[in-house]
Amino acid sequence: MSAESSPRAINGRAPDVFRPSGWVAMREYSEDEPVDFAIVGSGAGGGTLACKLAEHGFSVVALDAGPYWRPLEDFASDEMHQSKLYWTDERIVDGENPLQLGSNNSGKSVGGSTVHFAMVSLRFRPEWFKSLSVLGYGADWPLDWREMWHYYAEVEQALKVSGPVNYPWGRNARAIRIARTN
Amino acid sequence: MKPIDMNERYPGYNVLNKRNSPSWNDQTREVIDARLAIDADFHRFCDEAEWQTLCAVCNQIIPQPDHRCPKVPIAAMVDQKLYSGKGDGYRDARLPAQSEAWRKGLAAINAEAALEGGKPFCELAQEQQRVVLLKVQKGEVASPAWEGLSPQLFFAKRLLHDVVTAYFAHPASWSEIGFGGPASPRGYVRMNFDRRDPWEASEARPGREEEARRENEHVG
Ligand SMILES: Cc1cc2nc3c(=O)[nH]c(=O)nc-3n(C[C@H](O)[C@H](O)[C@H](O)COP(=O)(O)OP(=O)(O)OC[C@H]3O[C@@H](n4cnc5c(N)ncnc54)[C@H](O)[C@@H]3O)c2cc1C
Repeated sequence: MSAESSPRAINGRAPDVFRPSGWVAMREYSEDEPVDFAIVGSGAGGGTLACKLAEHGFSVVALDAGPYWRPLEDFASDEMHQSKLYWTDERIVDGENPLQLGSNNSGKSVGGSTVHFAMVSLRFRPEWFKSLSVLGYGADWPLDWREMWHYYAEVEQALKVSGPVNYPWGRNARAIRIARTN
Repeated sequence: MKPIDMNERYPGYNVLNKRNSPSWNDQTREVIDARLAIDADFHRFCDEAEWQTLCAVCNQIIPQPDHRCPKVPIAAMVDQKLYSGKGDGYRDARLPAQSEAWRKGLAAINAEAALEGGKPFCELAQEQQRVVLLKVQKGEVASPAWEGLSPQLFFAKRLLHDVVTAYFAHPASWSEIGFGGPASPRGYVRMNFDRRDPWEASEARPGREEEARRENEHVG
């Protein structure tokens, strides 16, 4: 069954994104059952929020305009083909210097833009939280970098952000050595 | 004007030789096979006059070497996009919607051709076609058919965008520019400067044309 032609996340199960034709169990609510939260859009924000709320025991329904892909079976290694991941409804660019956007600015599928994002998301350096007082530009943040550090770790896990195991700055900083082996 | 045959730069390289290698999987084979099977004459969006103009315009924008077989069916790919109604996700406010811009633009190019040489665009001599397109590109047009459509914007943001996108989505152009094409699941391994995986195109820098040809014959 193709993800494009009919919804896949039904009958108490959702596609397993790691196995061709695979399924994982999914909690499902009937049309007339009241739920605690209904979230429109299951991307980086909505999807993560839905997961968090469900893990804390709330009943949650997430809605998305796009398909539920199984990348291993639904994606070919071809750029034109993969444009099926994009949200291509018309957005108007206007003003004195209309920007030339790309068609891949956002995604339309369960997972939203994270289905094709590049998984890079750098943490702020500690001094940037005090950029005005330490570096002399911008503004100081109202919180200390140490307060942010475990949130970074949490969101990096949730969104599967890629990067070094030991962060090169901030807590437990370790210099990275890039080995050359040829 | 002699079409540039970039294949001279990657002699003997044919991205399709990787079709049965680990750089392609079944899904990729299916998608690229379908693209290779596009009938160069098939069109559903354009009427006959628009189609003749579109084909001639594509030929002017990206002339393809005579010996190439088959050629990239650029016009058919543009027609397919227009017929599908699938947009780019954004639109410059100064241009009408994609399909309207193309219909108006093709008609206006024809009207401009009539002023230039008294014939439809596709019947003009190559050199006259070039002159007409240059006028469109520079906005130096005379026909009232451009009313409501900026020729420069149409040329730069619609026509070139769609023609070039179609061209570079085809394996023949990948071979021409030495692009590796599909790369999953194998990917690339030798990431250092000046290293080349045996399944990458080899560039014929001056003096090593024959070496490049030999290497390209083993790409797979
Ligand atoms: C190509 C690309 C590369 C990127 N690379 C990076 C990167 O390396 N690092 C990084 O930090 N960020 C990156 N980003 C940005 C990041 O992916 C986005 O900022 C992030 O996903 C936005 O999250 P979101 O929840 O706001 O929206 P999205 O993740 O886009 O999710 C929105 C969801 O809502 C759905 N939706 C919208 N309207 C409706 C509706 N009316 N009804 C139902 N569903 C609807 C959509 O289908 C979509 O699934 C990249 C983005 C792109 C496009």
